Amino acid sequence: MPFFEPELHLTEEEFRLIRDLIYHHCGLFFDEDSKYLLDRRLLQRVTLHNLSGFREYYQFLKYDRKKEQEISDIMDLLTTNETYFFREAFQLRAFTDEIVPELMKLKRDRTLRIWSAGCSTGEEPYTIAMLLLEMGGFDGWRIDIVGSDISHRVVQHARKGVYGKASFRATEERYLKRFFTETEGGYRVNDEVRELVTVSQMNLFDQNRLALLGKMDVIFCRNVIIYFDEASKKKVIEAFYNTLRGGGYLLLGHSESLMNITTSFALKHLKNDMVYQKTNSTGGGVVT
Amino acid sequence: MKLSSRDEEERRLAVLALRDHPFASTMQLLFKAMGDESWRVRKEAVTAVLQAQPLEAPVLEALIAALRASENAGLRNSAVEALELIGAAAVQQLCAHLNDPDPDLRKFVIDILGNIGCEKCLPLLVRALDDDDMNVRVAAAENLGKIGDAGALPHLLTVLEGGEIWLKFTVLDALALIGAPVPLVSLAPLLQESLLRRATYDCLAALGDVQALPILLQGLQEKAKNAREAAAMALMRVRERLPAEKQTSLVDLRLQEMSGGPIAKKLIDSLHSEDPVVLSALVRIVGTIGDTRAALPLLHVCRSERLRDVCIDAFRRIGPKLLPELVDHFPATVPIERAVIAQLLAEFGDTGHEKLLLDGLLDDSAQVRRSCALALGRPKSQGAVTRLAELLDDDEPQVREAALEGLRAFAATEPATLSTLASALTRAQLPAKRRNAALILGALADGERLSPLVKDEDATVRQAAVSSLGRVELPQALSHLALALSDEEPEVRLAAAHALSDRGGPDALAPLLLALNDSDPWVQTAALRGLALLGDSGALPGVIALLDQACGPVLIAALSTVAALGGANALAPVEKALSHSDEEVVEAAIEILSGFGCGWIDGHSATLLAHPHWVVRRSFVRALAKLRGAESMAILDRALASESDQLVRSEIAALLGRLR
Repeated sequence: MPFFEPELHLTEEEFRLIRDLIYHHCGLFFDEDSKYLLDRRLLQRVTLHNLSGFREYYQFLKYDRKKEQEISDIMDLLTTNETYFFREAFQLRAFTDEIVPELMKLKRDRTLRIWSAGCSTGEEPYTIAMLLLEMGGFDGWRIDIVGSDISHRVVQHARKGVYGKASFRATEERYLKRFFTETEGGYRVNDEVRELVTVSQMNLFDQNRLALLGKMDVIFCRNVIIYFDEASKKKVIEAFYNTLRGGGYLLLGHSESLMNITTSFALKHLKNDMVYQKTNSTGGGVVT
Repeated sequence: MKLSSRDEEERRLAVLALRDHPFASTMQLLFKAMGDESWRVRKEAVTAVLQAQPLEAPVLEALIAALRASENAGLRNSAVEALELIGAAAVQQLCAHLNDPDPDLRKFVIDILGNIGCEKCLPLLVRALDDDDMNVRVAAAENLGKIGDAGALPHLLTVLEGGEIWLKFTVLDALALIGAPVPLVSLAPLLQESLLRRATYDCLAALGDVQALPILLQGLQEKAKNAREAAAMALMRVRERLPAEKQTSLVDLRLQEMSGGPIAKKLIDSLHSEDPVVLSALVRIVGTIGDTRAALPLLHVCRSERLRDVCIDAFRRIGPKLLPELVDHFPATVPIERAVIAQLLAEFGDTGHEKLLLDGLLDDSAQVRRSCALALGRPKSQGAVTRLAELLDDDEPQVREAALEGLRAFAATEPATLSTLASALTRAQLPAKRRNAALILGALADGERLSPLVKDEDATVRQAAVSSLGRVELPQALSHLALALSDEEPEVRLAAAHALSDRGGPDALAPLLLALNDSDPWVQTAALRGLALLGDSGALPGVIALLDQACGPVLIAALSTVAALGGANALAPVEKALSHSDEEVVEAAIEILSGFGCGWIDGHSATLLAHPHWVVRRSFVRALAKLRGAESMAILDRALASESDQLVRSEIAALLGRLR
C-alpha cells in the first residue's frame, strides 16, 4: 500500500533501464515525458512482488522466469486499451464497399484472412466479423479473423466476448439486436460472430509467433504504432509486409502513416479512405 | 521514360532500377527525381545518390547548387537531406560557399553544417554572426548552439550587446544549449527588454547559479504571465542545483516571506496553466510559500496523474492548516480529489473527520473507498473495524487490500474485535479469507492460531501465514519456517526464506544454508541476503561454492554476501566479476568494491570507462569521484570528452562541478 509508506520514485537511471528493457522486448518507447507514468503505475508492481524498489523490479523484469507475463501485465498499466465497436466508420466503409469486393473477385482459393493486430479487448475483430456476416455472399468461403494483443488481460476479455455500454458508443441498434445477447454484466457476442474470430496473445516483435499466423489478405493495425518509435515502427511494418499476400491491404489509424517508414506499400486512394496496399513487385523497403 | 510516368509507383520503381547502373550515367536522372512531386520518389532518389558514396567534388557541387532551387522546395529539401547524411565528407565544400552572394544559400549551408555538428567550422559560423543578411546571422547563432562548443561563447555574448532583438533571442537559446557558465552581467540587462524576458529566464534556467536567485525571485512579480512562469521555472531549476542548506536559506525562506501577499496570490492564480512543466514548478513554489489560499487550486491540479505527487508534497509543506477548506469541499468534488483529501486527513493525523471517512467507505469510486480505508487505520476510530471488515469483500482488489491494511492498524487498540474477526475468517471456505486471517493474526502476533494456517491446503494462505510467522515469537516458529522451505510452491519457500532472514539468530543459519540449493533463484537470493545479515563467517564456504554456477540476481547477492562475511580478504571473486558479461553483475561488483577502498580502481579503470553499457560507466565514475576525490578530476575530464551517453555525461559534469 504505497500511500502511507515512504514514497519510492524512479530515478533517471531506473527509468532508463526499465524503459529500454520494455523497448527491446516489444518496441514500445516511453520518452522522458512519460517518466511519471512509469513512476506511478509500476510502483504497484514493486509492491505486489514485495520488492524493495525499482532497481529490484528491473532485475525481476530482466531475470525472472515469468518476465514475459510480467511485461505483458504492465502493458495494461502503461497503455490505453480503450476501443469500441465500429470505430472509424469511414475506414470500415472502405473495407466493406471496396476492399472486400475486390478481394472476393481476385481470390480464387475462396479464403479471406484478416488480422486485427493490437485488437485490445476484441471489439475490432468482432466488428469485422459482423460486417462480413452482414455483407453475405461468402457461401463456400473460409473466413479467418485473427485478433492479437500483447496484453493477457485484454486477450482474456476478448475471448470472453462480453461488453459494457462504453463499447457500443458507435453501434447501431440493428447490430446489437442481431449479433449480441444480453447477459449479466453486459452484452455477449453471439456464436455466429465468435466462430469467425480467433484471439491470441502476441508480441508484434516476436517473429516466431508471427510466422505461425500464415499469410493475411488484410491487416488492421489502428492506433497501435503510435506507441512505437521509428525503428520499432519499421520493424513491425516489415513484419506486416511479410505477413500480407501480394496485393493485400494494411489499414492504419487515421492519424498514422508510413511516411519515412517504408516505401514497400503503395498508398491507394479509395472512395472512402486512403489505405496501404502491398505491391506485387519486389521493390521498395524500409527507409534507412 | 518511366521517370516521367504519371504513376507515382512507376516513377519510384524507375528510380530504384537506376541503382543498378553506374552512377555517372544516372546522376542527372537521379537529381531530376530528387525534385519529383512525390516524397516517395524523392526519398528513393536520395537513397540512390547516397549509395554512390564516396561522391566526387563535382557531385557535391551539384548537390550544393540544388540548394538554390527556390522554385522547387522538394529538390532543395532532398539536397539538404543528402548533404546532411553525407556529413563530414561534404564539409569542406560546404564551407567554401559561406561567402556565396545568395543569402538563402548561405543560410542553408549554415543549417547543414550545424546539423552535421561540425566543430571545425566554428570560426566560419562565428564570422557569419556578422553576415549582412539577418536570416544568415540568426542561422549562425542557432547552429553554434547546436554544435555546442563553448569556444563560441565570447562571440555570442558580443552579439548580446547589440540591438537586434530577434538575433539576441536566438543567441539566448544557443547559450542555453551550449550550457557553459555565462556571467550574469551579460544576461541581466536583457530583462529590461520585455520581448526578451522569457528567453532570458529560460537561459538562466539552464545556466544560472546562486547569483541569479535575486533576479529570479524578483521575476516572480513579472506582470506578463509567460515571463512570470519562465522565472518560476528558472528559479526551481537553479534551486535544484544548490546544496540542501542553500536551497532553504536562499530560496525557501524568501518564498515563505511571500505568504499572504499579492505575489503569492498571482502565483496561485497561475496554477491554471496548461503546461505540466510550468505547473510542476509553480506547485513547488506555492507549496513552499505555504499560503492556504492554494488549497483548492492545488487540489484541482491533483486531477492530473502526472502532477499528483508534486501536489501532495506541496500540501505536506503547507500543512494541516489547509484541511478545513478541503474538508468542506469533500462532498461536492470529483473522486480523485476526495481520495486525495482522505489521504491528507490520514497523513496529518487530523481527528474529528471519522464520519467523513466512514461514509467514504461506501463511495461509488474504488479510489475513494481505498483511500478512506487506509485513512481509517490512522485515527483508529471506534466502530471502524466492523466497517472495514465489510470492505474485505469489495469487488476491487485494491480496496480489499486497503481494508486489510486499515484493519491491521487496529491490532494494538482493538485486539479483541480483530481476534474475533480473524477467527471467523480462519474458518472460511474461501482461501482469500483465510489468507486475510493469516495476515490479521500476524498483526496480532498470534502465533498459536497462525501455526495451522502454515499447513493450509492453499498456497496463498500458507505464504501469508509463513510471512506473518516471521514476525511472531513462537517456540516452534523456526521449525515451521524451516519446513516451509520444502514447500512445493516457490512463493511459499520465498516467504519462508524472507521470514528466516528477518528473524535472524544462530538457528536460522542451517536452514538458510540449505535454501542456497533451492531451484528457485529468488529463494536463493533471499537466503543469501539472510546469511549476509546473520554475519556468520561459517556460511562463507557454502556461499563461495555457489559462485561458479550462479548468475543474475543470485550471483549479485552471492558477491555481496561473500564481501559481508569475508570482508577485504574475500574480495577476489568480486574483483573477477568486474569482467562479467552481465552489466548488472559488473555494476554490483563496483558498488561492493567501493565499500573497501580504492585499491581495485587502477587495474580496471580503462576497461570500465570503456564498458559498452552506460550503467557500468555511470557507476564507475561515481565510485571514482567518491573514492579518489579531486585526484580523479583528470580521468573524469578525459571521460567527459569521450562519453557519448547524455545521462553519463551529465553525471560526470555534475561530479566535476562538485569536485571543483
